[in-house]
Formats: sequence, structure tokens, C-alpha cells
Amino acid sequence: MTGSTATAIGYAGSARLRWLELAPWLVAAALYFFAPTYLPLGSYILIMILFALSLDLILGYGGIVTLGHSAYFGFGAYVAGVFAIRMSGDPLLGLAVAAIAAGLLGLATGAVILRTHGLALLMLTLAITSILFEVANKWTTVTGGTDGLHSVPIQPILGMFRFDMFGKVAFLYCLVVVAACWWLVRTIVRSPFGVALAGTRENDVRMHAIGAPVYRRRLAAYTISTSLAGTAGALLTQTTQFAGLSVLGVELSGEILVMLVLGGVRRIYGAFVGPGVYIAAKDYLAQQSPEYWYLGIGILLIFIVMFARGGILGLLDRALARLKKARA
Amino acid sequence: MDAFLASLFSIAFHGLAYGMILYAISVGLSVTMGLMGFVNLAHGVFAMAGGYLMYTVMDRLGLPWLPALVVACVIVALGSMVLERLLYARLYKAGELEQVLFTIGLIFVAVALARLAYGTLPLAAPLPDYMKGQTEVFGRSFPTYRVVVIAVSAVLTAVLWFGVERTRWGAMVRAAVDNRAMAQAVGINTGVLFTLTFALGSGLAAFGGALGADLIAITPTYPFEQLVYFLVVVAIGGLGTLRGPFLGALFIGIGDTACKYWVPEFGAFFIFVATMAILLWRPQGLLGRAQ
Amino acid sequence: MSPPGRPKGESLGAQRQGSPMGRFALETRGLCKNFGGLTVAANIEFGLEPGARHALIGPNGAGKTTFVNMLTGRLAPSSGTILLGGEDVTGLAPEARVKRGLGRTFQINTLFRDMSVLDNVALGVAERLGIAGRMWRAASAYREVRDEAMELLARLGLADDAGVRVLDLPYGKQRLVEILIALGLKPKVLLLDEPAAGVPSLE
Repeated sequence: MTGSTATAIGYAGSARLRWLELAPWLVAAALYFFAPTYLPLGSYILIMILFALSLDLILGYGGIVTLGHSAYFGFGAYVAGVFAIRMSGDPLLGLAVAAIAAGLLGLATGAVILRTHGLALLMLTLAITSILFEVANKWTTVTGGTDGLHSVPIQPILGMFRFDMFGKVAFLYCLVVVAACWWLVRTIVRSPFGVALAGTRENDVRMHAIGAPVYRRRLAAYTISTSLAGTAGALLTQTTQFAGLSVLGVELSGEILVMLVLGGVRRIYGAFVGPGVYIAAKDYLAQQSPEYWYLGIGILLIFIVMFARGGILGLLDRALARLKKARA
Repeated sequence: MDAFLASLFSIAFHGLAYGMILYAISVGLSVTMGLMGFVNLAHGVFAMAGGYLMYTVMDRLGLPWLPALVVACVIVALGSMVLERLLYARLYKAGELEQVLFTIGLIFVAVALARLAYGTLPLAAPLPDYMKGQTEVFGRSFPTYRVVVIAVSAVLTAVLWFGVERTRWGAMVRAAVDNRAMAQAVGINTGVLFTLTFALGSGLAAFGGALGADLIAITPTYPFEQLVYFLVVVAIGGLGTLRGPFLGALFIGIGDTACKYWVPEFGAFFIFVATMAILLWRPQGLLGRAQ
Repeated sequence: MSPPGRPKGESLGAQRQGSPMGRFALETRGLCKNFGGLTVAANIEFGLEPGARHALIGPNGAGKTTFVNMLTGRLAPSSGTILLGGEDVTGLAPEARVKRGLGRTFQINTLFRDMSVLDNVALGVAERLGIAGRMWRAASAYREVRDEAMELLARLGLADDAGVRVLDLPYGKQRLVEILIALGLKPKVLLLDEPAAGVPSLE
């Protein structure tokens, strides 16, 4: 709640946009104008930011520990791919269909698993993503199995903006969608619903005792979160014209968790910093040796848990607090 | 009809072998999760380590199969004690998310080290000559190796159950699982208890991993790929019990084998759906205690 | 147990036995609870007049907590009825009883620890006002919630601690927050579970 990088939620907080919050978008603009060769990477980072935001909503704010969020990301990815191949290549339509489909899947699965907590809940999230992985793996006629869906035909956006081979249109497309979703998450988190969601995280028993419909609220948050995750997956399929098994499974769930924690949980902008730093570093370092990359990430993760729970933004907060103390 | 019976027998046998390996690996996880309340997703690392170490010991030191197995288990058990004292113990009071993150970090480290040391291909499980070939059981012939797996695991299970039920150490573990604060109040040194139990659980996992190398291939991504199965066994069976994971392991072992045989196009789908059904009906597991 | 605030137009001289509906703020008739062969509550006939204050005292194991849990809905009675403001609430879930005016505090502080004192109290107020589920406007835009919460804080002298995180507060002040959260619900009946436990100045 304190510190300049933490979001100001709560009944005493402020809803106004602070200057610092425009930083990610300025960085994106700078990338577009000054480093256009990195746009495909930039699109990928934006997609992962959206995925991380969706996870932060239920994990950071809702307190629901899940290792199965990739299920909804992958479901959205495959739905977008199958829709484009079999129905229509219109990207906006496909995006809407994928978001709704992922939301419905989230509603159905959430209704069932949110009745549990702790290990049972964690297990169920793992089971769900494993089930989807198995389905995608075996249902080759629809999903392409281990080969995946290739050359997914995507039409120009609104019939006008064709996806170019430099990735410019793709980048702007992702930028607009992610910005819209970011605004949505930001609004929800600052709303009374967001504060109540935090309440269910902090003290489930007391929320029941003040008459809050805890299960319904959690389910609503879960559905919104899965819908956003599915949107991110759909963006990936549409911008790369490919959907493969790597969009599902425990490893991806683990990786997005790492990205979010690296940036800082429950800070919205942790979901920006984490994937940005992780993917940029991975792109540069993992080329040399992927094994050393995973070794480094593992050690970093252990380090974060032991000493830097708030991730990069948490460290930044502490540094700023110390600076203020020194000046005072 | 005869062919059907034969296939039933075959499924039961191979499922039992698979299930026993799963049990050996997962029983330690069940006990430590019930004892320390710690979500240890990295348990598969110990199983993988058992497999790789046994191979290295046989390859570099030239030890025969059985001594190599024992040495590998002991090394893993000792190593796990170090990990427990240095790292795990600090997180016993931490939240679920921290424990999940920490153990995922451990998996990443282990996977990377395994890749660096052994490459990315699955390990060719070395078997002594007397285990290759077939054996007659009830008038049918089965791979000798799997007969050995079942026999050895059965003996181990019996020893374990006897040990926990009859020895003082076992009584302390059961007491601490039941009520940690009370156990401490009557003078049980839970710190030492945790470390020793953790070592035993990890040693058993190494045993299961090494013995079962032919059933569950040892690859660098083993801890990620098999995680779901170990957790399913523990979750279905119930935390903190010995008999619970036994049921869970048999369920997965035989169920998975049956599905792969009869409906291979669905793979593990039914197993996961069944897991969901069971957990929704009884979130604490079949033999676990209701919260 | 004590209901705060004003009685709702009932006469303060209401009889305890055989009263028509609406005379009691909280009433139990023939309330029983058995755990197997053990009878913890046997035919409790209880009536709480509006505006009254009632203390439930008894040795350990007398069944006080069981009684409270049955009143709040955490525990289902073996037989008997519970009436809140004349309405039969025996089958209702705890949340529904809260909505009908039954508030409670906990013996062990059950607070929203990583949130500010203001938010702790505001949560209850927002639930009561029915705005806690709204997603589109910022929470800070709902002035009425914040003002009411601040008013409650001022009543118990916590107005200066509004922005402080609950887990940074001393135990005594946390205990006050515990009561304030329940007060924010403006309950018709308030059950205080060992309210002064652990606070020497109050005890």
C-alpha cells in the first residue's frame, strides 16, 4: 500500500492516472519508432504482459494460487486458430470468440474448483491444464497434435490493416488490445469489487462474517481473468499464425508465474516489468546456453522468495523508501 | 474371452508395477506434506537424482546394480537433508505461494543441472543380466525386471508400514502429523524429526526413480513432466498417510495402464477427469482427514 | 451479547415469555444441539429485547461458543428455531443472517491484516450499502462509504490511524478495529465474543 510503485487501491486511494503509469506506453512507442527490428519481440512481450496481468488479478489480488492458468491461455490460442481456419479469418471476431470461450471455460471450471482451497485447489488447476494438454495432444484432427496449427489465415484488421512481415501492424494490434485490457484490470482493482476481492484474500472467514458473497465474487474475478488469458493466447496465434502445444501445460504456467513474481505481485506494473525483463534477458542470454538460463532463473527465483518477495518493483520501493529516509 | 482375460492380467501386472514405483516415489511426499504442511513440488527432483546418480555410480565406479541403487539413495537422502536445513526449513511458516515459487525454482535449477551433466536424451536404464528376460508368474510370462520391481516394492512397503506403526520414530511422526504444537509440547524435537523424515522421503523417492527408470524414463525434464502424477497420487490418497498414497498409486498405475491400452487416443484424459471427480467429492483425499 | 443503537419502536417493557412475533430482536425456541450422544445444548429458550444488553457467562465447556455458532449459522442445530427480528432464520446461511442484521466479532482478531484500518471498516460498510460488488467506479469515489467509515473510526479514537496497516497496529487497537468492522454493518443484534480478551486496560 505504501511506496510509489504500489498501486493506490482502497477507499482512501486515488483513481487518477499518475505520470509514471504512462511509462510502459512511452517505452512501447519508443520501440515502435526507434527499434522497429524488435517489434516481433515487443509483440510477444505485450502478449505475456496481458497474460501476467490476468494472473495477477486472481493470484496477486484474489489470493488464488494456481498452476493451471496456461489452460485458458492455450484454450484461447487454439480457439482463435481453429476459428480462423474453419470459420472466419477476421482477427477482431476471432479475438472476441476466443475471449468469450476462455471466459466460459473459466466460469465452468472455476465454479467447480473454487469450492476447494489449498492443495486440492492447486491439484485441480494442474489437472485442468493437463486435461487440456492431453486433449490438444490427441485430438489431432482439430488441433494438429504435436505439429500444431500452421499457417493460420488471418485477414486484415477491419479489412484495412494487413499484417505486414515486419510485424508493425501486429505490434500496434497487440498494443491496443493490451492497453484496453490493462485499463479494465486497473479499473476493477480500484473499484469496490477490487477491495472486496483483496478482502477475500486477506481474511476469507471475516468476509463471510460481513455478509459478502465470497464464492460469487471469486468466480467473477476468475472468469474475467481467464477471459483475459484467453485473449492473450488468441493474440499469440493471430500474430504468429501458429498454435502449438507449448501454449498449454505446467511449464508455461510455471514460467508466467515466474515472470509475474519477478516484476512484483499485486502491483499491476509488476506484470509489465516482469515479462519485459524476463523475455528480453532470455532472448539475449538463452541464445548462448539455455541450460544456464534455467539455472539462473531457478536461483533467481529462490533468491526472490528468500530475500525479495516483492520482486523488482518491491526492491525499487524499498530503495525509494530508504532514499526518502536519507533525505528527511 | 481368453484374450480378454489375458489382457486384464497384463494390465493388472504392468499397472501394479507402475503403481508400486509411483508409491515408492510419492509416499515420501505425502508424509512430508502432511508433516510439515509444505507444498513440495520439487519432490520429483529426488526421484530423478536417484536415477541419474545410480547410472553415474555404475558407470564411473563400476558398482553392480544393487549396491549402486543403495549408494544413489543414500547420497540423495543426505543431499536432501542439507537442502532441508539450509532452505526448506526457512519457509515452513511462509505462505503457499512462497513455497510453490521456491520449489519451482528448485526444479529449474535441477533441470538445468541435469541437462548440463547428462544431456537432453532419456537415460538408457542399465539392467543387470539376471533381470533381463522373462519369468513365469501364475502360468504367464512377464518381464523379470517388472516382477522384481513389484516384489522389491512390496517388501519395502511392508517394512515402511511396520516401521511407522511399530517404532518410536514412527509414533513421533504420526503424533507430529496429527498435532505439531502438541508434539512439541511433549518434548518431540520436531526440527530433527522433520529433517530425518524428509531424508527418508527423498531417499525413497530416489529409490523409486532409480528402480523405476525403465517404467518412467529419466530425462532432465522429469520433475516437470511427472509432477502432476505424484501430486495426483498424494492428493487422491490424502496427505500425511501411508496407506492413502498406496490407494492413489494403484489407482493411477492400473488406471493409466488400462487407459493407454484400451483407449490410447484419449491417453491420460480419463485419469485427470477421475482425479477431479474424486477431489470434488472428497477434497481431503480418500484417506485424508477432513479439515 | 449486546445490540447497539436504538430499539425499533418496540416497548422496552416487553414480556419475555410467550411474546408475539416481532417483540424480540433475537429469539431461540427449543434450541438443541447433540454431538452423537453428547448433548451440548438442551432446549434453550432465549429472548433478547430490543435495546437490551445480555451477557452470556459460563465455565469452559458450558457450550457458549456452540450457542453463538448456532446463532450465526456456522453450526446447524439438532432441533429448534432461531428467530431474528421475528423472522425464522434457522435454515439460513451465515451471510444471509448478516444481511438481516446479525453481526458478530471474533474472540481471536480476524482482521484484514495487510489492508488499512479505513479499508477494514469500509469493507463492512460497503457490503451493507450494497456497493461492494461494483466494478466500474473507483472505490475512492464512493464518498459516503469513506465518510461513514471515518466517522466510526473517530468514535473509538482511531481517526489518526486510518491509513495505517492493521498488522502495524498494537494489539489493543487491533481489538478496536475488530469491533468497528462489525459496527460498520449497523447490525440489529451484535454478538461480541470475549471482546475484552487480552486487553488489560479494558479487562
